[in-house]
Amino acid sequence: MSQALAYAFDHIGVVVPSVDWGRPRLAPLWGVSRWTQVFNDPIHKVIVQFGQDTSGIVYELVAPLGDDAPIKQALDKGHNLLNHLAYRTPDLQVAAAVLRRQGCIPLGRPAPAVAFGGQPVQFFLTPVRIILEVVQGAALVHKFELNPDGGALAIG
Amino acid sequence: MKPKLTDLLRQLFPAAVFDGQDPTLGVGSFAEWDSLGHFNFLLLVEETFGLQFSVDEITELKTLAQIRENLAARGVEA
Repeated sequence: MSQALAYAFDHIGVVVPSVDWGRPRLAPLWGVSRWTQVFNDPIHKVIVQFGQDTSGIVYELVAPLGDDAPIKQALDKGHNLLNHLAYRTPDLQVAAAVLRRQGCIPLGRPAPAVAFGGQPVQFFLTPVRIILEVVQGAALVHKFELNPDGGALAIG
Repeated sequence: MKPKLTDLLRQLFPAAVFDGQDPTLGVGSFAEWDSLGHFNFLLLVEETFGLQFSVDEITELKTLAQIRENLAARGVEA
């Protein structure tokens, strides 16, 4: 099997104290005018919202859900706030095996993600010390709505 | 000659002060050794010794002593 991983870029994950704090700051900086709904994910202990800029790049605002959220470490230390790159893949198990052979270490087991309709995701630390999120589901799409004022659209 | 685990800790966390013989030395022993720091450390151990931990091992190995014991079982002195 080729070492090349069959996946498509999905988003850049950015850690923020809250999506309400991050959204109006991200929007003018990167020209993000279309947002998804807000997703509360108790499994990963995060609140997330996706925004898309005019060139099509998708950003994920990731905020802690509760004081014991793992992502809170990044906020508290101000490190790793540009947190991860996420890719969609048709087969997470295959992708995980390829990434492992390439020297990536899994940060946990696959777990369903609310923002992806319950599809499993898994995080890896790569040999270049960048975190990758791999999402099962090659055809997943985010549902954006034009939202020029940067306000929240809905709470999921 | 392969470095010791304590050498790798000093490489990854140069500002940390720790006792390499402390049997409880592990995740949370100092500020830099948080959960992401731990994954960085496990990745450095894998790279240094040319091995791979299983997912179970990654979730279970939390102290330097546990990692040392795991490596010893593989015939690696660290």
